[in-house]
Amino acid sequence: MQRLTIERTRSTLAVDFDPQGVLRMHGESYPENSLKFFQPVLTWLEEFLAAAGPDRPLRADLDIVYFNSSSSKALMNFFDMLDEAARGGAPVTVVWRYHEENEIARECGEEFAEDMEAVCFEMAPYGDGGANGA
Amino acid sequence: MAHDRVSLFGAEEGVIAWAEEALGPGRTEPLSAAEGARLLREYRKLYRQCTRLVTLGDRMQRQLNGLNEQLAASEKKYRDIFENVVQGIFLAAPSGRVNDANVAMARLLGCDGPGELMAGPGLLAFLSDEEDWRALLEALLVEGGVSGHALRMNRRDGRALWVELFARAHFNGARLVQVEALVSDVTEQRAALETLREQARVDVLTGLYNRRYFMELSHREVARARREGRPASLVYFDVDHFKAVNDRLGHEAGDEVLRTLAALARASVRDLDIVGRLGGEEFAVLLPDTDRAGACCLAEKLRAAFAGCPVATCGGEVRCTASFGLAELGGRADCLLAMLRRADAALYRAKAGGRNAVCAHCGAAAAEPGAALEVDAASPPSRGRGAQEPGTA
Repeated sequence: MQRLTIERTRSTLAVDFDPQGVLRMHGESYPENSLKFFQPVLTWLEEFLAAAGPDRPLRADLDIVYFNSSSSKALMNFFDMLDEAARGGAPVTVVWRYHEENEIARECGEEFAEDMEAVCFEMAPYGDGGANGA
Repeated sequence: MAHDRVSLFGAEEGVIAWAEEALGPGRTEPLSAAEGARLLREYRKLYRQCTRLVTLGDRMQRQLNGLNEQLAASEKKYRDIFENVVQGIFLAAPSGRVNDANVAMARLLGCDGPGELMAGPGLLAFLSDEEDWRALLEALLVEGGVSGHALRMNRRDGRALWVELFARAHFNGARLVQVEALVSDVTEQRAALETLREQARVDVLTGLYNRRYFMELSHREVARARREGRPASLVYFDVDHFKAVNDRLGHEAGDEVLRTLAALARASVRDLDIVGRLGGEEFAVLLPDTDRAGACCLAEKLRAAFAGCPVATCGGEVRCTASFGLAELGGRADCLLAMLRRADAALYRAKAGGRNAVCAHCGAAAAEPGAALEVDAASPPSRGRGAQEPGTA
């Protein structure tokens, strides 16, 4: 599988999906056309999940400051796919990074976490030093 | 059935299509328990996501309201500064058309309000010289901004105005599209400066040029005469027995005598001549385009006028005389200072010869210091009614 990388813009996320099983997304997401932006992202994940065995570990590292409604629906689909894989037996971790003073980002992460049945959802606040997406 | 989660609502559309078939009229057997469970599961998921989206929508709205309030507060803050600042502010197109202006700017130009300025023909109508605007644009094109840029404007009522601009250019690519400027009225400062400059040039007592400015102007005039090979002469004169006037009648009377001589000197010269009080009771006139004969003529006229003019002072009327020394511009090496030395020597001769006289220096191009003291024996001191001690008439 090819690595998927998308450069960050003012209104779209930076994406770096590694076939080794580390998926990174960070930035703000309010694209003019959310479907157009997220389709390749979700397609990549779908293909990755289809190709990977059921016990292939997967880690999503996210630092998303702001997202609009359609982006949030795409993220819900993203999380659903991860949770389904986790329910199927794959060890899946989501690291939700947010600035410690960004209450909205924290609330969003907590809500996404509530929807997860099998995914290990980690809340990861950071200070002004910034997020270390490792 | 494949869940198409790649498109945003693909999964939901898939469920609807499946349910329509499962519950549709073509179906004969009842819904199985597994099918019912799936329907319930999908419905729960939809409910959950719907709840999330509603929360998210509300949260976003709150966030937006907060931002709007911040924006409005900051807009108001800057609008207040814009409206209440003492300096004029304008945003204008390169054509001079005013896009925005504050109250102070309108007031500065004598307009009723910014609206009038924006509706009007633009800033060029207020400029003394439209070329100044082009020069400003030129500077902005090169520098991007200017500070302390002086501009001469006219108020709507025609009154002259000096302003100082702090301006910034806005570009669209390489094209200058707008000029933003902070404008201060410096008319009073300019006037004060002009007064100071005038005061620095003029002797307060007589209104003649002071020594410094007389020298500055005369240097320039002598240099020009030399360059153009034209004549020029210097008349150096002072009041005879001036100390006696001061001692006998007081300083105020002395001042009156000086003022009278100054007024007579000014009245007897042309506009292009330079008259100065060099200090104390000493005066000088530089006469461009005038040879020794012309200078002699003027000095004689002034001598006679002063001697024949009684001066009314607080101590009574007083008659005074003055002595005059002349020097004409000589050869190439000559200069103002050398002319002054020669005129001084001639004045010394006039004094020595009995005062109330005009004495010219003969050696026009005297280069040696010693020569400056030689006075032409062929032009003896011309004299009026003879030197007199000043006294009350």
